[in-house]
Amino acid sequence: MQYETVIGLEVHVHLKTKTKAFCGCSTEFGQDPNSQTCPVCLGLPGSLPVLNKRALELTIKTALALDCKVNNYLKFDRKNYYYPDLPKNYQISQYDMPISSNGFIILSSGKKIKIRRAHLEEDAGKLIHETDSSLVDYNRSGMPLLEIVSEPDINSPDEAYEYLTNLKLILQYIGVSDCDMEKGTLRCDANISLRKMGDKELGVKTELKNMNSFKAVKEALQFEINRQAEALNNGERIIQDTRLWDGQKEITVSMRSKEEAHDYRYFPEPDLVPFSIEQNFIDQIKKEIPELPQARASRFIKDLQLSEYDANVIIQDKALADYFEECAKLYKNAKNISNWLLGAVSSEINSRKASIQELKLKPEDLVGLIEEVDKATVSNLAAKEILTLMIDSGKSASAIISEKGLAQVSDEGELGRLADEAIKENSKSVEDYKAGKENALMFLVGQVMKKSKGKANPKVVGEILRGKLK
Amino acid sequence: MNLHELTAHQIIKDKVNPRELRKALEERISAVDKRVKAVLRLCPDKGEVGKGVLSGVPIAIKDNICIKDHLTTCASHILDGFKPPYDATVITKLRNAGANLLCSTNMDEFAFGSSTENSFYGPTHNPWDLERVPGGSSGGSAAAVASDQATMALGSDTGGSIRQPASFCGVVGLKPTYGRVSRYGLIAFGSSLDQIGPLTKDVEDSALLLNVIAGYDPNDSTSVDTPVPDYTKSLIKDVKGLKIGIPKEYFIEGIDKEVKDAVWAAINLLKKLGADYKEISLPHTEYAVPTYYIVATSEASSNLARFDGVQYGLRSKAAKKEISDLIDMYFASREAGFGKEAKRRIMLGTYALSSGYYEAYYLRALKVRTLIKRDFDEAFKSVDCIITPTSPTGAFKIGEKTEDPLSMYLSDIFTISTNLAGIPGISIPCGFMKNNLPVGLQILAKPFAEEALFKVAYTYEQNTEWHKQKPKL
Amino acid sequence: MITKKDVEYVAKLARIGFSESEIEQFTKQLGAILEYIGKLNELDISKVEPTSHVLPIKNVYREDVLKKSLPVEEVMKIAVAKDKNQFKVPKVIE
Repeated sequence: MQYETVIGLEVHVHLKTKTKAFCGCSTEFGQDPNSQTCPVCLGLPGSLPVLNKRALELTIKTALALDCKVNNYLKFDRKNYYYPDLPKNYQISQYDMPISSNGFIILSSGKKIKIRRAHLEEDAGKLIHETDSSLVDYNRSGMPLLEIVSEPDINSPDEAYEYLTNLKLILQYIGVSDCDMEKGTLRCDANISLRKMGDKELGVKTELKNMNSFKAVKEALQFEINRQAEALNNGERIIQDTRLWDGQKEITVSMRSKEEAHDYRYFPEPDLVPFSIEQNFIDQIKKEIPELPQARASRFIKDLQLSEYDANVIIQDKALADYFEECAKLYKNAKNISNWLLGAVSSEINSRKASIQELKLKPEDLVGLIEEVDKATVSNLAAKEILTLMIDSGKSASAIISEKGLAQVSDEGELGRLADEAIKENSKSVEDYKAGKENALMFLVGQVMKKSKGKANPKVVGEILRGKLK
Repeated sequence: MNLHELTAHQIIKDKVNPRELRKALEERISAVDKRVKAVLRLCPDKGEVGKGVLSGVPIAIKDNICIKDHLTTCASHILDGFKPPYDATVITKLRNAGANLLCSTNMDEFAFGSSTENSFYGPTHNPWDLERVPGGSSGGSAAAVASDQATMALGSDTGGSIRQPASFCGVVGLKPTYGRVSRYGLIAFGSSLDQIGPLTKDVEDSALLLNVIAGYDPNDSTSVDTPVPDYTKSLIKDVKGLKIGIPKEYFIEGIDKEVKDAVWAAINLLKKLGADYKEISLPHTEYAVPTYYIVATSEASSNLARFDGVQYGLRSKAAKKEISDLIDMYFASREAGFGKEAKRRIMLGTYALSSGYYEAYYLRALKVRTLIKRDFDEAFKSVDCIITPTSPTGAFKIGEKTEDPLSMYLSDIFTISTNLAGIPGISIPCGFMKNNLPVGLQILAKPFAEEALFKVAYTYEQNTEWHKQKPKL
Repeated sequence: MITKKDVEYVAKLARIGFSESEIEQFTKQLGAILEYIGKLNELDISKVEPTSHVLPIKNVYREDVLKKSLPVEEVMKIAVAKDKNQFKVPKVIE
């Protein structure tokens, strides 16, 4: 039987605010347990929430970047459920009037994945399980969370992966979140169901949780597709439940303990007043939104003549793309910059496990190095070594070249002398060349390069040798 | 006059020695509270005298207002041992005004009740008749002021919890406009209805205390950012030309004849003093109680979800089954920690919000609330204030209504609409019944028109002697 | 009409333990209260907007400015059970 896969994704990201959503406690990570708490985020009796304006702004900013409609009236609701990391045993969230709705993300195939809604809510604390007890740290409690819910428009694990990648990139571009799954600043749950090809009605879905990377999302979805398909083929019914991804065993496991029906008893949060969002407030926020990744890639292709591939690779890292633009302001041949960034510079980034900002390499210095190669002051090969030295020392290319005497030798007198030596010492190769073997010349060029300790300009050497062996 | 009998304005005027005053009140508490049982615990007296408009004035605090490092329990077992690490905004304001925090007062558990019988610590007794209830839920505060155990007190009012006990105990009780006084630090019952307010021996003290506690608080999103007038400037004996509305729906069967007569006598006195009255209609009055019991209990069911034994308060060890995991702990702690009425209200509210019932109950109640509010908006187009009895009866006997929750709920019938509409209301003494129980007169006004309330209440009070009567203890 | 089963379900949602006889008593009492509340059905509310906030205030927020948190010792003072500056609870079985 052929099945169609239907996937909807629910992404939670921490918004980058200084303080929590409803109180003035810090949002900094990795602090001592319960050191960033107050009556409000501890949910102490009598405490009351007051909304952080910045959290609202960042939510609207995200909505705009995702082409969502920003609703001009919004309110908060209480979602009631019991869990020890949820200090009030309700979460302040948004139910029927989310901040925004009806957005989309475009995949490389051109397919639009619709975004049903994006809303603001508060995070819970953290539970640490010990052998016979659990410990609760409320530092995370009350941090602003943005929930972004897609429509079930995704039809494969690959599409899910691309949706997530694009979403993350947009969120990073607009600076609303770090989107770091390891730190828990981005979390993703998935709803997945199968239906017979051509069926209109959706099948019974399961909810997948506990995936801690985009790769895990992809794997969990693939596992679930196989599991559901097998069950359906055996004539079984899919049971609607929540399943946890076990990354070790690479399977999903049903959370049977959650047998209780979800009855969240949403009602309007009486402790917060409603908000009406004025157009000029939205316009202000709109101004904060930078060029988004897909628009940037198109511009790189059109205005800077990058290949589609290069453009799409460069924009994946906002800092790298910013760096690229800085260089392109100083140097005409953007393609050349991109080759350097995606080649030698990226290897340096990888081997040093640093970001482009962390490397001691100013855009003008990289451009300086490229220009030395253009001027044939140094060979491509030598340039790569110079790059390493530049990053080590923070010095410019020209400084290193003159310090270490690395400039190419193009002086015909000096090179002619070395060429004569090479011809004398390699009579066999000379004969081969004369017999028409072009490779033999390359060998001789290599010999001259060796004698010059790599400083000879190979192009000039080639011409000199050709002249002498005529 | 004995020091414990003084009002705050007399204390301030006579510059009474704060040390002697505190001592006098502590002695009074030792002397009479064995019988009244209004005081749950004394606040530690640090011997310092704060400066400010209430310098040295001893004030009692209802046990649902957080005082830093001081046991605050809402008269509930589930808050055993809970000492908040922070002060409620009103407490900060009182400290800044130099007031002397005297004691915590008894209340119905989590303010659920109209008699102060639903307290984990046992009932408070009405100082006018120890067999009777003081009203509730701020019964401890009202009884403490009536029996001169506190110069003034703070209470909270969700459906009448300041005004009804004020009426039963013969003191002045004010529920300010919703948003006038910060709720930060008031342990919530019905968040959209709760207000903190003063219980005092006379109207002047009420204005003095409101001056201190009113005002915008950046920690309470629902507090309103409008200037606070000097309410003592409204203490003027003048009601000439004042238009009073008498809602016909408040003078129907079930109301005690003596109460009705006392209220009418008060209306006639105000007329003699130059006010005008006319009958008005608040057509949705009969829907106020059912609306209230949905809105208030729904909010309460969520507000009280946090009492689960995880962080603070009672964590039940004695349970039927061994507590092996967290879920058991929740059930056992909440079973042991909440009293009957608290459970009843949590259950009702949970039911009203649960899947499939939200629209039939909660949403419907919010819509009826709109109609009730509109009734008042309409009425205040033609009158300056509305006068009603505070309660249909005088104080009832302890135990009389405990087995019948519905009849207990109906004792708030005249005070509940006020909270649903968010408007201010005051209850002042307006006479005594044959059995020497006080009767309360309720005056209502537009949102933020507390000044109008004070003016009418003060004029009436200064032309009568009721507020000077003392219970014999 | 509220049934015993409804009351049991609600008790579970509200996380309150009840004895069998209490469930029965509550079913009766809640039934009576709900019947009384049924009075609200007399009204036509089809064209009425709900009031969840009685005052017309909106847009109340605070700036994203750091405030002092409570000292952790103050926080742990309220704890029923604690370990390593965290609140200790019976093991959560997932």
